[in-house]
Amino acid sequence: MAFAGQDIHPEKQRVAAQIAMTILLVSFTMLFAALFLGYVVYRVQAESWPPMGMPRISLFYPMLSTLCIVASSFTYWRFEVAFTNRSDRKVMLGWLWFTLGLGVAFFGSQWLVWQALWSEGLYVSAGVFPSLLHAFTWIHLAHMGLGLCMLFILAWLMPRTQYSVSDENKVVNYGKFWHFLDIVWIAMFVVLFVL
Amino acid sequence: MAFLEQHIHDEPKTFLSKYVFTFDHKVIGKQFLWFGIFFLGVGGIMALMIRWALAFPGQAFPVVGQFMFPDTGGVIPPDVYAMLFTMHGTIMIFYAITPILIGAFGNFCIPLMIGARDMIFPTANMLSFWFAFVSGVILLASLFVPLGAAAAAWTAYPTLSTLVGSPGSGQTLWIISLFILGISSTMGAVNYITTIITLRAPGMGYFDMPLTIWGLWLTAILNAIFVPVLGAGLLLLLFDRVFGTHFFLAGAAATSGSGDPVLFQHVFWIFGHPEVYILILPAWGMVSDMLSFFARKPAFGAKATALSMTSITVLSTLVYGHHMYTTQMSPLLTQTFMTLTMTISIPSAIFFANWLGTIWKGSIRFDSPMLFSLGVVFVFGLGGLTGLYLGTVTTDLYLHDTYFVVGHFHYTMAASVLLGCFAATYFWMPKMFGTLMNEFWAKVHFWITMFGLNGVFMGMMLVGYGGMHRRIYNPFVYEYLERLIPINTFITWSAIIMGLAQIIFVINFVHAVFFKKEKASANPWNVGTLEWTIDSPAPYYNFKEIPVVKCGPHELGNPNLTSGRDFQYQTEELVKA
Repeated sequence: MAFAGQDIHPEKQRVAAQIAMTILLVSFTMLFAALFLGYVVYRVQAESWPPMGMPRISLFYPMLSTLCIVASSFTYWRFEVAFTNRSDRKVMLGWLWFTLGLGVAFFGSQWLVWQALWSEGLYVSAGVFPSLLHAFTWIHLAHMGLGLCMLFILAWLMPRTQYSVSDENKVVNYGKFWHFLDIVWIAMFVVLFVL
Repeated sequence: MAFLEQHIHDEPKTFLSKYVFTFDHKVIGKQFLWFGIFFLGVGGIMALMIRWALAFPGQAFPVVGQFMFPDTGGVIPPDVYAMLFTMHGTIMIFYAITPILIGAFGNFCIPLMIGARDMIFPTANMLSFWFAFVSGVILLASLFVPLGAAAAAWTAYPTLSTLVGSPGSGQTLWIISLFILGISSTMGAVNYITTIITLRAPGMGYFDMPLTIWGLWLTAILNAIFVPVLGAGLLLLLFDRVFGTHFFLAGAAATSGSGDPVLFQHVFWIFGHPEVYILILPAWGMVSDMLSFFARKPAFGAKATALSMTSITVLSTLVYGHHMYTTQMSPLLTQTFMTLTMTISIPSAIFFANWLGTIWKGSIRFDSPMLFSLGVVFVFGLGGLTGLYLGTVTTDLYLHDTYFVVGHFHYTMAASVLLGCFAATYFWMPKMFGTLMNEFWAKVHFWITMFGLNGVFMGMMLVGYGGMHRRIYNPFVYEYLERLIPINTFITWSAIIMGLAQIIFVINFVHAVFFKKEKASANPWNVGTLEWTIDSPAPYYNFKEIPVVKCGPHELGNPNLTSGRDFQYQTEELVKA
């Protein structure tokens, strides 16, 4: 985010950006928390879960998604370390592009998850259970889209040689958002597909 | 301690960068003000149409009725009536009050009153306005789609708001516009909170902030936490309508297993109850400040006022169930919510007593902002007290969904917030536009508005107590309500008079903004907060030198003052004996 005063008090700018990101993550948490609250209500009211006549889908594709996103968190972390140390630019960019690739792969794996759902007859309009599966993954994926945009911004910024305080803040805070989406996905994976 | 001092950039020169896509918090504040005043007018006209239908059922709406409803010979038809009260509520809450109090005065006051040059994220601030603008355009567009605008009330309960109850695209557009507005509010909230934490002028502790800032800050916190909850509910409702999910469908419409319509009510009110505090907290803050400024006394128990507003903020998150006593909630739960609701009376009573303590034995100046502030004290007192009857389960079961509820929330959310908006507009006018509004017409505006709104909302409580239900098109088809027609006529005349009084305000406002030659001085009200230490209107980038704060915001009437003034600026060392 652009500050009114660039590059003065770098430490203080960092704190401000972190405060803002924290509040933003609280907001996003509330969005997903409300969704999970809804899930709990449906789950508690149902006599059996999944509801009668509804199959579970194989865990293979959801696992694949989990793998992609967890790996992408790991690679982002490596990117951040390489960025902080300013060690090897090639390695740093490599980790960033690797993260981007895994992010895109996550999109692909989600498509496979939906296909698996459709093949079992779990269409969006087939009842509350498939509605939950579809709607939650949509909303999460929309936020992943936002996350990917952030990664593309970084991919555009990183080839420079000099980084401003604002660039450093972006690396730290975009990373927080990316890891946050990872955590949300893990919660969704456990709640929607495993339990 | 202030974290960082912002650079002074060059002033933008072109019309587009200066007035349209501006980063300047003051201009964004003014944009929000015009936006809000425009929607206040739209919502107000809708209110008058609702009132017309209730006072003169079956009679053609005067003047424009023939053009708007040719099929019925000018009479407001039932479906349009439902759209009117839906859009009236939505517009007033989300597009009039929120932009004026939070968007306009939040943006304008926060940097000025904490001694900063701008918001910390000016880009996000600009985006926040333009998201709100897009959202407003979509909402207005929804008025003109086939089958009309949303008509499921501002609460949009399913299954009324699903495709079964609202088949047209109006409801879908309503959801989309509210979602976009939610993004705008969240962006604004993150910005406000961070700005207040990091950009306070050196020496300004949290309790040296004016209470206005306290109110806006707490509001922003509630916004950041609870608007996303509404967002989640709206998304699921949107999916129900557009993609055929089954979250809120029930009964015959749910072809493959039933969803849970009441869940939406929970999600809505988890957001909705904090929302009413989101609206009222800035007004409370401003009134707490203004009572002190115009009684020429320090605010009585300012710290206690700030802390009780904080505890109300916390409590407001725990009481939402009192909107849902009639949804077959377990009595165990209703009693819990009732007890928690009653607990809010304690902090409310504390700051209310502090308000009275502030004006007690003050040398009150009855300037227009003070009149409006005193008006807020009066109407909020009435609104708050009637809330007790609705918070209590036993009485609420009778009063639920009657006009008593309508009267109650209009006293708290409409009357007090509206008067707060006016007080703020009259008060900060010189700092915003460099001129003072005409004091005589301001007072005329106040008295007509005050009598008008009491006539309207007191009348509503009366008919509600008499059993008249809200949201019914022509309730007088029921025999037991027929005798309430005269009171309803009285309410409508009060509303018309109140509505006409707003013309005085608009003329006064437009005149002061565009035509008034006589400039206001830097500090026409003689108060000491930071925004009054600089010129009127506030210069670009506010403070040449970031001020150093040495005392609180309410240092008025100190007997040790020798400067010939009865107040001191926050930048001056506190005068001691």
